[in-house]
Amino acid sequence: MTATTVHEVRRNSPAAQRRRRNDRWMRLVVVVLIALAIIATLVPIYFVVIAAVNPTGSLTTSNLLPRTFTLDNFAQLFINPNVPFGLWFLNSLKISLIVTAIVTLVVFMSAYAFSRMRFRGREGVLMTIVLLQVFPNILAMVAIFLLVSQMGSLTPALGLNSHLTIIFIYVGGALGGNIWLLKGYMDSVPREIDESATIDGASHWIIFSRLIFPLVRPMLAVVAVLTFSGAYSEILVMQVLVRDREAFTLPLGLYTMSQSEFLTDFGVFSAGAFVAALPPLILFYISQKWLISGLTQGAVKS
Amino acid sequence: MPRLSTATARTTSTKPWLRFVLLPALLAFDVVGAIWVWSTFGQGLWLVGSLLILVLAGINVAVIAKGATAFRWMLPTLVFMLVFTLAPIVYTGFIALTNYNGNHLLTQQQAYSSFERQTHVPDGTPAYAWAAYEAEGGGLALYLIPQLGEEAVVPDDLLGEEPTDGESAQPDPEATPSPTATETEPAEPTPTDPEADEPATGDLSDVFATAGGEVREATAGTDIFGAPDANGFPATIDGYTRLDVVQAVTRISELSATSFGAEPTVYRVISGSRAAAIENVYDIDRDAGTITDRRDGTVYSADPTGYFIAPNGDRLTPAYQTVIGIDNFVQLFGNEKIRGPFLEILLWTLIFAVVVVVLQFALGLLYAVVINSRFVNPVAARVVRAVLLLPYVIPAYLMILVWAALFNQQTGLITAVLDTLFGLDPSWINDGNGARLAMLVVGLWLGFPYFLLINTGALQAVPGELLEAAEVDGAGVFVRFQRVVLPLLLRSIAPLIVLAAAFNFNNFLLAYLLFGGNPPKLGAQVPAGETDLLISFTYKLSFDFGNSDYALAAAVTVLIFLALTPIVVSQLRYYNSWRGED
Repeated sequence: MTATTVHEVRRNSPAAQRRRRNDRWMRLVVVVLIALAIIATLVPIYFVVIAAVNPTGSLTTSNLLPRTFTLDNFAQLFINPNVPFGLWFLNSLKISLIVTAIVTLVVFMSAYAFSRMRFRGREGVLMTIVLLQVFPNILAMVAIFLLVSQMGSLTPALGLNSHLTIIFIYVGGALGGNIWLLKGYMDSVPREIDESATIDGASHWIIFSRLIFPLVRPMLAVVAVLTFSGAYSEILVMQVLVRDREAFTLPLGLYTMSQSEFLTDFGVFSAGAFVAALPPLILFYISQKWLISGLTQGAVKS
Repeated sequence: MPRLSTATARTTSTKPWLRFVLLPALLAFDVVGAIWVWSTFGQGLWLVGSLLILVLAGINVAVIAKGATAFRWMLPTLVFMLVFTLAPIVYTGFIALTNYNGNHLLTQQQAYSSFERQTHVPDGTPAYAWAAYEAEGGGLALYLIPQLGEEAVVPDDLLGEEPTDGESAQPDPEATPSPTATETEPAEPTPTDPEADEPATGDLSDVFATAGGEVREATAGTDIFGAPDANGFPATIDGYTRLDVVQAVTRISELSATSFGAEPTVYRVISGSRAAAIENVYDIDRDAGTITDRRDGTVYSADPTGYFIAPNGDRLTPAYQTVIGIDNFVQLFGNEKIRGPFLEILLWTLIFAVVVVVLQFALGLLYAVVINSRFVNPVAARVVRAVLLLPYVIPAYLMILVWAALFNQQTGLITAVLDTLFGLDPSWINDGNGARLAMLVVGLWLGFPYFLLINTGALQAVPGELLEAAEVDGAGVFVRFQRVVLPLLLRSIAPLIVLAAAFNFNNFLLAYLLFGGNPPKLGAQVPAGETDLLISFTYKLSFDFGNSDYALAAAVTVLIFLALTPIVVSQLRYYNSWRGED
């Protein structure tokens, strides 16, 4: 830091001494603030973990410090036939992964078109996409429900209780923001790269797959992670469109668990919550570096 | 941009053989698509049909049109966003102008069909004994022998209305009792029907009727009919196999759901041993929009409110959906018991969205600065950040459910601890303000890490030279922060703050999973709670426990769209500032 050199020059002035005293206070304030934030963040998380490994599975002040440890609650998740947790988990993974794959490809294609092609209506479509971002598709839930019931009366695969419908709706909701994100990133890739390739006779497909793809991979990863997390924890669309318990995903399953068996089985719910939180946690900390730069990109850019 | 026109030229001159594969495939695809569209409109699903046409047209243009390279690349996006984002928004606007709710699920045409299917056994109809036969190629038939002097009596559980579409499975909480539509009871004798008083005269002959087909007089032992058995039924009929008693009993539900013969003479099985001629309850004139009850001659006319109404005010069910204009909005603002809760929820939604985002931003900024400061070494800073990000990384619904448990009045840890430490009675959580405060706390907890994240990023982008210059000029820490850092920061992340406010305005998960919107508002005519946001309110209006007031919910949604307009405008300005780079 260049700022420190300024400090050194004035090390022994009275101002510097005052500053050192201030520093001691500031350091204390900083430590206290950080400690407070960490406690506030961890307390609810701590309780889930404790409840998950506590045999009584209840949350009372008396057992805040665990004296006994058990994995029974986790076993319950996979043994208890009333809680098809494994099935929910698979449903969640299936839906989220398919949605992520479709969204990543479709977003990539659109962002490429917006970033590298000039065509009539480009402005209008881009602007529409930006504006639709303000209205999450759960806002139009009533319309989606009625539309899906109508589609289902002719084509059951696109009707209620169908994972295909869910996947399509998630894809539709995830496109806008991500196209915007990826297009911005692509714009920062110098066009000279693909211009020279175009002159050499490369088709769009070659430029798209061989040149642009490797360069925007970090942002694609961000798009994938955000899409996965979104689909993995969506609850409203699922609750409105799917009635069949076997077809539930984790969020809806855990929600029904927390509603019906709250008082007796909080331990099992906590174990389920613990397991359910793992995939996004792992994914996030693997992709942390790209993700943070991606999320703050809007800020850094201007 | 000339360079791109060369690129376009390249891609459109693709391999010629591709056309020979693509075009026939497209043709086949279009034929299937056209049939699909046709049947969609046939069912009266105009919205689905129109969307299908647009999608098919898009695919055709993408395949055929020469200069449509960019369109081809964007087609998947356009299709998904059209069908699952744009169309629902537009449709919401339409639903808000209708009376679509649990009582008005069917279209008018569907309602007509449902009345058409209602049949009854007129009073004094002669009863027949029946035997069932099955044709060799499948298809049922009845041989009927009139029972002298016996009137057909219909037991309660037979001849019910056939189920309509899946939607009719919806609960129908306040269905108007229909005066005449239950055809399971024999109707009152009507003086206008001269035959009714003289049932079962002796001159009736045996009848043979096939499912949905012919009806003819028959005599056992003649024509195709074999010799009569002890009960008078032909033992055999050419081309048919007789069902024995056991078979007939096991297939009784199929038999009783089948109409034998065709209009105007239709027979139905009405019990294990009896059948009778049935007739439609209603005469329907779709053009005039009237339904006439044949039993008493009452004329029901289609009313703008979506009911068929008799001159004396009686209504028929099912009612149907129709456009009623701005009535839903009038209800929202005019009906005291709806307006009050609605405006309160609107106010709380605005307060919540603004307050929670301001707090999230302020706290996020504070910690971004604190963790970035020279008092924290870089390794520690990284660890602290990773920990503080946890609420952002763990799916929100999980932690909201946990918070809900912590705030539970009977078993919640937080309520218990506050009770022990400060003697605070746990019932505070069932008070409107207490619950709202708790909701703000959870909202802050959930959203603070996001702002920590983006503020950290934005701070790193503030040029160090600017800060140094300010310091050399003698500016103190706070002045530097207020005059230099904050304006720069706000300029760059303002759009994200606005989006976060929009997100919290619609924070359904928090409002619905934390307290379910409870405690409920007293005296409200709609399912409204003290912690409801508009979005959870619309959800409860449409999907909670037998409320299915889709139209009112759609009207509220339209108002949400309007309320978000300022955000749209600000995003537009943001967009315009970005556009400069192209």
